[in-house]
Amino acid sequence: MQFKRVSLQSIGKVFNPTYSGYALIAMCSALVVACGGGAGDNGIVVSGTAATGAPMQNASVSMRCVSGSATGVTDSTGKFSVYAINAVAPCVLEASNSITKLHSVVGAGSNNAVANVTPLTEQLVANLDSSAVDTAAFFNSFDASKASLLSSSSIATAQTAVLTSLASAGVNTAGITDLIKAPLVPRNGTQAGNAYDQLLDTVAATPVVVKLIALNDFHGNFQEPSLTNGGTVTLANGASTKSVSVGGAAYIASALNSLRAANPNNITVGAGDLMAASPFASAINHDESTVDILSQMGVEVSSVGNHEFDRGITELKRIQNGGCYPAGYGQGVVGVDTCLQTGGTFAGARYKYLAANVTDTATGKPVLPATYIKRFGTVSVGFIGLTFRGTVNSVGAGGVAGLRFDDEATVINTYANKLKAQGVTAVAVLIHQGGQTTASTFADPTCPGFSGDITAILNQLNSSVDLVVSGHTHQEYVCNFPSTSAGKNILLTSTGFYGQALSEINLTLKPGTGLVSASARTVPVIKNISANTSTPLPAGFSAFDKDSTIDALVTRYTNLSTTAGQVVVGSVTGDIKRALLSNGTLDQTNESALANLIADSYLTGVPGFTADVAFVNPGSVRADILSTVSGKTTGTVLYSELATIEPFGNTLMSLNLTGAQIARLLEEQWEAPNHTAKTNPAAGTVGRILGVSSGFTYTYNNAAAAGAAKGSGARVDSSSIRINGAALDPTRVYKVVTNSYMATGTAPDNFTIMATQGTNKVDTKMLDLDAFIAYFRANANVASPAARVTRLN
Amino acid sequence: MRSIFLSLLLLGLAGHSPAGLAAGAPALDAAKAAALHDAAAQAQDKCFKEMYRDPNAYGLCIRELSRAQTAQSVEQLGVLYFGFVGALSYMRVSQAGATPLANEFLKSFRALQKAKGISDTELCASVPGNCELRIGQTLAMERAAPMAPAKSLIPVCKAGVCRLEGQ
Repeated sequence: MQFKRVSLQSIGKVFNPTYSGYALIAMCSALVVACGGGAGDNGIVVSGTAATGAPMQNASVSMRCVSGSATGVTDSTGKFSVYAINAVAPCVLEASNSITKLHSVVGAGSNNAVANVTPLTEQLVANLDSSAVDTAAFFNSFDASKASLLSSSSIATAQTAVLTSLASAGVNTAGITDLIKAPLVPRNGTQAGNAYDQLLDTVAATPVVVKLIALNDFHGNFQEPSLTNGGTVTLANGASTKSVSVGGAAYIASALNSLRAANPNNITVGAGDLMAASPFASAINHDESTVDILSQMGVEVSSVGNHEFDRGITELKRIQNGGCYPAGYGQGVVGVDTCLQTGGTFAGARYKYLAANVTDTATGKPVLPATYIKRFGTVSVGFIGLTFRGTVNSVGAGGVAGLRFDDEATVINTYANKLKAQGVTAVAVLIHQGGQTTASTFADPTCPGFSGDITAILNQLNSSVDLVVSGHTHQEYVCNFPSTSAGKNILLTSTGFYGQALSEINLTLKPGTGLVSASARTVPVIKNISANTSTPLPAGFSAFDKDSTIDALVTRYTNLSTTAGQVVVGSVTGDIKRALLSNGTLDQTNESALANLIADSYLTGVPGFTADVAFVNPGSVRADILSTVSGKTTGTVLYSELATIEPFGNTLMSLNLTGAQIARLLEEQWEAPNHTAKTNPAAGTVGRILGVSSGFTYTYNNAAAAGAAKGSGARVDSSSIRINGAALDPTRVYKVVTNSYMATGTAPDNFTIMATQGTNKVDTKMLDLDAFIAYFRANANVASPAARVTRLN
Repeated sequence: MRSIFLSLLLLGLAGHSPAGLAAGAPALDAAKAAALHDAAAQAQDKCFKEMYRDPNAYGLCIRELSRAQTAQSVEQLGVLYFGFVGALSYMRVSQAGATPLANEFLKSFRALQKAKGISDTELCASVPGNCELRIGQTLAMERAAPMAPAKSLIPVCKAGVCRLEGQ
């Protein structure tokens, strides 16, 4: 037996650190002789060979046992021997060089053991338990609490799984039945290796095709999306086109089953915004329904998107880990809007959310895992999940408070190198950032005219990255992006939005070699209904039936949302509407009665809270209150209506402004660039008119020039500004309430005064929707507010 | 990059007769073709990323950029044509608000295209994509009945559940 330099250490045991490595080798050798080939009563000797086919030469070998540890180095033939004094098995082994990192195990009761370290023992370790799939992490965290995972039966079961997977892949195992202890002689120069080594060569040369199925920007659309908003896609049909209806979780599940049936080596992944900004049926239960459905559809891992942070990190962790929504303000009622699963529970997402670039600023630690590893027999794929850095500016302050969003490319490169060093065969990035093509039909494989924010990221990635699954832009594409930094084409996919399609991605991988080839196509989730199939679908496309299990779940959650949404929360004397353009779309350039009413709810909706004035950005008001609507009693206001009007989950924040600052805030309504952001040519009005609370009035001159530079607008008659009848005092400090979107950032909707000059900011933690509900519960027969803004000219 | 584009563009023009306009000699020399392409690329760079966030902002961006060009110029045509193509790219995924924008910019670029005597094929080549399909889609949209003015999404309650739907 040849020995290289061996270093020893002991955890919690007496050890003389003055021993040199070579002296210890001598001691170890003596022990081998004295004990008849074994270690002493208080130590463990483990010897073996580390090889991938070729020997792992001069590789570092580390051993961690239930008690005790040791390190060593392999020789030129891959052989090693390590000795841990005062150690107790079972143990895990790690052999690593600059190229790869492999693991193995030593069962309990062994103090003189043989343990090879090979790609097959790596696979064995990964099969021990779900917590061992990330073998490097398993090794690093191994302690007595995980000893049970290394029982002889567990090891045998894991080994059987490896041998079975080899057999199913058509690999002849040549009689090798003990992957840990079988004699292993790697090839050396012209000398061929033995049977085990030849098995490793065969495995290394045998490609494995892995299928990734991806979706993004689902936004809780488990019901079939509206045909005019995500529910239709246009396919090329020869020289013509054909529009088909798509989406709905029951159809998606069927499409998933179909794709999975083609290859058992598959995984379903997401690229963020799977929930939030959702239809009422999902929003009413804080997206618990969506999470349950996606879990039961078999989604396994997803990046976070910006919308996953809409309700803050605490809520996102609840979505991941389970538990009921906090009770209060009529919400958090078990069985109504939360904990809708058996026994009044919510188990959380079965899939793992990844957030590699999101850190808790208080602790400096990641808020969610950064990576996820999936093994497919002899190969593995490491996933890195993250959202775009600008998430911090696209979500209300309450959603991202205390979080840091780091540079995407830097984070990806760091983890990609780490995953490759850990030995994963390929690295896939799940990122909530994307681009756009100029394709005019769905599933155009040519990726024409690709552009967008993700291109800068792709051109900073290193060569460790093999695939990028993207989202955010609601576009569909499959591109081979020529990354200048990686020096290769990187496959890039996105599926559109609301579950209208899936990306089918096929990776051909070889152990030890990595990605051999990659291809992808977009599979639209075409419903198998006569409207789609009465004329033939274009070649290459299929329609899907509903999956009955998921369909039943969709029905159940739809019925629950119907019950919850029917709750009457108030009453009105007539319609209360936003300002509307002649074509019926939102007019932000004129005063909105509904925005004013919402401002009233800001002012009075927080119990025990008082302020002088409230402001509401008109773009945050998403629908009107109509007194008479089919399906409800005239004059009533339903929970579902208010949830539709205020869907963003903003919290209410207070801040202090001087009277002069309030006057400047009003001028920002028309200062550049707001004067061109919103226009109403018919009325001759421009800008964004804030909703203001009761008692706040002012007059402005619409004939005065708009578009002045920041700080120089002069449309408001400053003497006209009144708060409860009193003239605005430029020097007095007023307490203002607005939503968290407007109170933070740098220039939300081009307003800067509140966000950047407001002082003593306090997040009330009160959701705007909750305040609106509270307002209606406190005030019966609410009427449309009278005008509070006087427009001259 | 620009010279490669011009070569491809001129190759692409060879043998193609205008689809929507009367056939004839190409109206674009290389310099004008490049100007058309560059204007479309500028519109893509400046405005396209607004589309998924806010179609109205995309429309405003295109209109503003169009006004910033010399009136009736090929540059203005390039901006308006990209305005159409960008909206069309979101029509294929039925993004709310995309269809009215596509129809608006179709109308505006068509008027200018005819004034300049530029063929569909020449114009289409200024933005990457399948021109056979895109020109066909353009003509089909023109043949279709004029769209009603865009309507906002309104809450529609069915069995007590309210959703935003188009009017």
